[in-house]
Amino acid sequence: MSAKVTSLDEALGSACESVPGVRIGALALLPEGLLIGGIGAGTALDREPLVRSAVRCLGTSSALARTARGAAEFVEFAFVSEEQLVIILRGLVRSRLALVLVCTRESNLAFVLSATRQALNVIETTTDLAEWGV
Amino acid sequence: MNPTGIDWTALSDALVEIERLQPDESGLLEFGIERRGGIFVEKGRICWVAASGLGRRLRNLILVHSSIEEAELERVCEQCRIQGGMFGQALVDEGLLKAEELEGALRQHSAECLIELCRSPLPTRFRSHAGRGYAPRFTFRPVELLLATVGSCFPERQAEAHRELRALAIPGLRAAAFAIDRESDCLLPVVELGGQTIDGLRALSRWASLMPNASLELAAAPSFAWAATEKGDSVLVWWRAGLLYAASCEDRAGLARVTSRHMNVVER
Repeated sequence: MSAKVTSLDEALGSACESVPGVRIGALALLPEGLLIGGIGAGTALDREPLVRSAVRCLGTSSALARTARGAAEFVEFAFVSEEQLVIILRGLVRSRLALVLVCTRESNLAFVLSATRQALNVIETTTDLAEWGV
Repeated sequence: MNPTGIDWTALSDALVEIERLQPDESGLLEFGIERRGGIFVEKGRICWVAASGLGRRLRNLILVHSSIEEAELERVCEQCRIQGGMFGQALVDEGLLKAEELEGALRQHSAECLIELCRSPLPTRFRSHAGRGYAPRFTFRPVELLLATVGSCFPERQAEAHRELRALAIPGLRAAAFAIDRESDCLLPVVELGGQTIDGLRALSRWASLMPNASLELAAAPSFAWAATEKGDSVLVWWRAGLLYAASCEDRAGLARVTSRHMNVVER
């Protein structure tokens, strides 16, 4: 991994500090599913399933059509299992960016969601991603 | 009813064809070149489904749904045959059958006939009804019959889904429970909330199936999922007792209530 990736890891870690109960996380590029940053224990291989999940959720069209409001793509997902919450968000400023965080189940879903949105916004607006063409 | 061998796509396509008719349209949706049967439509609603070989089935169902004696039933049938009346309605008019008993028997009869008509894909053709209508007392929306048909194959799942969705009586909430047909691997609606159409249920089922697919890579299988668009519209999907549920609501507070309820259940 390059030094640039390490600095992205740091930026991601810093942005996600306020997200309650984060275990691991991944920052990825869509639609390729390229892992460009990560936080938490483990290696890039451990984060690969998160990236693939992001691609499944955000990489293909799954528009929600409402007659009154027109069709719109899903940009945020939350998955709740017995032991963890998984949040998957697409960047609102840079739509090729996807952030995936795995948090402990005890954390409040609304807080986790709100904090994850803020974290992604910080990454989108303060991190230099020009090297990745974003 | 045994759910094997039913072409659910053909069945729901036929009902969607009726759903898309003009509200004042009446006629017959015929199945097969050799007229294997059809769906009689009165002003956009289904009043009768006929399938060859099931001509006497309604009598059996009425006997099951009510306490009427068989001899009495045969007497009224014969009387209606001679006079050209509808024997179900005659039974109700004579006080031999409660209206809800007839409605239940008619619904089940229609469901069984639909299944029989959709054992294999048959061409369908709608012929508008000219002149006097059928003037039936009991008619069904296409979506009602779809749910009745699926429910007749999955009665326990339908009862379970009714219990689950009854607890979510939130204004503006559109929700549905889906059973999985193992044969075709498709989602079949068993209960719906919010007065949706079959097209609406198909959209919900697409989003419902999206969630399990999206979570395939995760280490722990989620029991609950939430997705939102940038416009703020949301869909909730959850698994319980072998059923897949999907809900959407314009009112975010309503969705928050459903989410909160589900999270509390998970925590217990």
